[in-house]
Order: sequence, then C-alpha cells, then structure tokens
Amino acid sequence: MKLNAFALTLVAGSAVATSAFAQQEYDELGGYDRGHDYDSEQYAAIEARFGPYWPKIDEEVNGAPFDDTFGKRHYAFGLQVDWQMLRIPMLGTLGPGVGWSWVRYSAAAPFSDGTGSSDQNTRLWIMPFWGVGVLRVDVFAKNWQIPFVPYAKAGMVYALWGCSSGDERCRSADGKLGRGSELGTMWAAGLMLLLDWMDEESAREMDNSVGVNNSYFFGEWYSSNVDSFGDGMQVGTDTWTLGLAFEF
Amino acid sequence: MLRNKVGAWALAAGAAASWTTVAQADSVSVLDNYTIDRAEERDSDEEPQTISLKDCEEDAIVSFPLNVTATELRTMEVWVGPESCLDLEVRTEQCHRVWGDEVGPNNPNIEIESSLIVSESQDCATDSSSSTARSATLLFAFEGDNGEPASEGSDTLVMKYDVVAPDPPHVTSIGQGDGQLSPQWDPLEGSDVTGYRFYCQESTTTQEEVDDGDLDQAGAGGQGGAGNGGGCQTSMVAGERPPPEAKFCGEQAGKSAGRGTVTGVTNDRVYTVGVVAQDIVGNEGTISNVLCQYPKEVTDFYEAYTNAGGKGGGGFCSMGYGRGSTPWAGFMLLGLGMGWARRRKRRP
Repeated sequence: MKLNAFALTLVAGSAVATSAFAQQEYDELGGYDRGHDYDSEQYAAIEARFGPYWPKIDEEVNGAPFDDTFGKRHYAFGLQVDWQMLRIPMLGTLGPGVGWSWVRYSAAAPFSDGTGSSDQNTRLWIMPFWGVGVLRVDVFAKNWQIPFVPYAKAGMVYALWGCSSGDERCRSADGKLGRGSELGTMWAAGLMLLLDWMDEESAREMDNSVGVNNSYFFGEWYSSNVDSFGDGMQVGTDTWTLGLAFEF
Repeated sequence: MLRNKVGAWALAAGAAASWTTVAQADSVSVLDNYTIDRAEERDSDEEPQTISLKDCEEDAIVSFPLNVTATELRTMEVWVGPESCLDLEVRTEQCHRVWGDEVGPNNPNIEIESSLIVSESQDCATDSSSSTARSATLLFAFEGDNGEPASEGSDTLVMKYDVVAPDPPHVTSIGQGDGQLSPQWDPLEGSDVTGYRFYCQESTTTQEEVDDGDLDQAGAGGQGGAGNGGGCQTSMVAGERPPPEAKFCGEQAGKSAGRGTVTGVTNDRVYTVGVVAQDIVGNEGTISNVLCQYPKEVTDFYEAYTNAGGKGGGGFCSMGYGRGSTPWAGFMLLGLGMGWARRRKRRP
C-alpha cells in the first residue's frame, strides 16, 4: 500500500516536473508550448578531462624515487566516452565507458655521486586506458531543473608507461628496459554542473545542429590502483579532475 | 590585275622565306635539369642545384644538357656573370668565359667546373661576406661573325652558388650528462643557418681543472690552442675549421636551436667541444669558442626506482619477466570490445 502511494507520488511528481520543464513561450501570435520537441535522442557522453596526476609509485618501494626525481605536480589530459546504454526511470543513465589519459614528467637527472643535477633530462610518461561502468543521476536536472548531475564510475585500468633518459630509453643496472604495462582497478565520483541554463537558446541550437543534448562542467575525485596487483609499478593515483562533458 | 597578282605572290613568297629563315635559324637552349656531380648527393630540400663551398673546392663538375638546333657544327661559348653577358659592356667588365667548343644537333651535355662558375680565379671566394646564396647568369651563345657571342639563338640560365659559410655561434656552456654532453650557444640571427654541428677532441685537461678553472664558462678559458695553460688543452682553434683530429660528435637541426647533445663520449674523460653552424647547402662555418667538460654518470628515474626495490618494467610485453598483466589486460580489452560490438549489433 505504502509502495503504491510512493509510486503514485513519484509519477505525479514526475508529471509536474515534466510539465514545468515544458516551458510556455509567447510571440506575436500568442502563446505556444515549446516543450521537448527540440530534444534529439541521447545515447552517449564524451568528456575532456584535465587534472593533476601524481602516481603512487613511491608507496610501494623503499624511499621516494619518483618524488626525488620529479618533485613537482604534473597534469594529465584525457578523454572518456560513455555509452548511455540504459535509462533508469527516475534515476538516470547507466552504461559502459572507455577512457584514455596521458601525463609526462621531466626533470634533470641527478649525478650518481650525489653532487647535484646533470643537464640530462630523465622522463616518465604514463598512459592509462580504462573501461568503466558509469551511472549518471540526471533526474534532478531532467525533472526538477536542478542543474546538477552526480555520477559514479568503477572499472578496470590498463596503463602503459615508459622512461627515457637523454635520447635513450631507461634501463636498470641489470639491463631491464624501463617501460611496462600495468593492470588495476579504479573508481570515481563526481558532480556535473549543467551549463544549458546559462544560454538555453544556444543549447537548443547546439542540439538541433550537432545533436549535443547537454553540456556540463564537472569535477571528479578519481582513485586508481594500477600495479598489476602488486607485481608492477604503481602508476595509479588519487586525484581530482576537472573537465567538460557533452551528452549527445 | 596582273600587277596585283604578282604583288600578292611576292608577299606570300617573302613571308614564306621569312618563316623558313626563322624556323631554320640555329639556336641553343639549356635545360633546367642540370646536375652537379658530387661524391655525396644532396637531398631535394638541400638545394642540390646550388654550388656549395665544398662543391667549389672539390671542383665538382656541372653538367648542362643542351638542345641544339643547327644544320652543321657551330662554335658555342658559355659566359658567366652576375647578369646576362649579351651586353658587351657587361660582358667586358663583369663576365668571364667558362666554356667554348663546337656543338652540333646531337643534344650534347657540356661539363663545366663549378669553381669556374663561382669565380674566374677559381679560388671559391666572393666579394660578399653574406652567407646567403648568390646568382650566376650563364649565357649559352653561338659565336657570331665578329667572334663575339651572338644574341640570335642564344639562351641564358640562372643558377645559384653559396660559397660563404655561416659565422660561428658563441657557445655559452657545456652541460654534463651520462655518456653525453650538452653544449648551449646563442642562436645565430639573420643568416641562412639550418643547423649546428659539434666537434669534439679529448683533452689532457683534468676534471679538477675543469671544475676549478671554470673552463666551461664563456670567456673564462678554453679559447686557446694547444699548450694554452689558461684553457682546455686542444688543437681546435676558434675561428678556424675543425682540425682533422677533432671528431664530429653530434648535430642539432634548426636555426633557432640553442642547445644540443654530444654523443659518443666516455664518462669522466675531459673533452673540448666546439660548435659550427651549417647552412642549407651544407656549408660548415668555422669553429666557435671551444669549451671543455666531462660526461658523468647520472641516475635516471628508472634506475632510482629499481634501486628502491621497484619490480615494474621490462617492456610493454614483459611476460619474459614473469609478469602477467599484459595478457590479462589484453583479454579484458578484447572482452570489453566484443561486448560493446554485440550490444551495438542487437540495437534496432
């Protein structure tokens, strides 16, 4: 009984919100309901991501070789594409996503005898790829005009990395090549701010012309453990990311 | 009426005769696909049809393919000057004759020494200090009745020569690396420089002298030749060409480059390093101020990581090191891709 009442309330609320979202507009011929007639089908999202990337390399070795060598914060750039495969009524979308990012560190290599820094650069690059499930709770924005979309992601990461020194690839003292690939896990949680309300007319035009339903600015907390389950270099990180997202 | 007919016939005959004279006039034309015979071919972006200082000094032969229209052997001359040598005054004052012989209608190639095209004295010198290329205009003409080149049926070709090498840069310091050195210099402005080349010579100067004597600093030494106690011990001299005992040890492309890497040097040995600028046709200038430095072992990031107990690395396909991440990752990505494709296929 209680469940039925709740469902009824939800349906009613949804109807009211939908009705509110279908805005009435006026011109010289009188009022008209623009409603949702301009919405194109929404099936995916794409994100451009930018944020600091500080790998947790030093957590799994003695000392702090990464911090000692590179020392300062570097930023990663990345992209992610989600397929909004499933729409859950009164909640949002759920679907798989794939992403890629890239970060590069460079610093003067120290002399082995500890007498300072050389003029030879040593560099490390990390390129994580990930496959995740993404839940975007867009019911607030769609039904109640609250322009926030919380979301969560979880999945697997596969990262390539490589080290160079001067014009050569790095090698360890026993000749092992300084590059590798690692597997691991990740999760992320974030909040997207819907930008359409800033200029609704442009948002509609973008939808009509290129099929972009919504544009967002987002901030995300991202945590990954990418060390081949203890067998490789820990190139995962705990960090925040900012970016722009487009649903289309 | 008759007079008119005769007049018309005479006019037609005159025109035909005139046409015949033009059609059958002897002429020479030079094709623009001439070549310079050199030991090392230059790439197409290095202006292979321009005479360089090396071409000139080695007397590389320039071969010009001709197209000759003549009923019999004719004496032809080739003159070179800054502009067309047809004008007597120009020819007398500014041109010199570089070739002369009989040619016939067999489309011959004629060969001329490049040094002769650059200057009459064949000393590969010009009166200009500019390192940009200059033009020479070659006149190909039959000898006229008066013994001078005839304008009728002649042809000209403009070709470039660049026999002035760029000035040397000023080297400001030599940085140290592991098995390498990093010279830095002030990039040259306003010349046709396309890159810089490095010359090295092992020196008897000690590491202590380098460290204490500030020899790697501009103006503080390293300028002298052999036996100069105030600088690096070397036979390389600023402002002269690198001596034979100095080895080429690296290069850096780009006029605006101000830093490069010397390779092939051994840690803890002191080297004198000089930099020369190079232009588009490969002319190498004289050597810069020479400074000395020694390469020194460094610890790169991966070495520091493995020294700290890190287990990662070995290559992207590092299965040989007993690590299983790569195949697992491959399976995971393959699975994701197949799942995605199946869902897309099922979609109406």
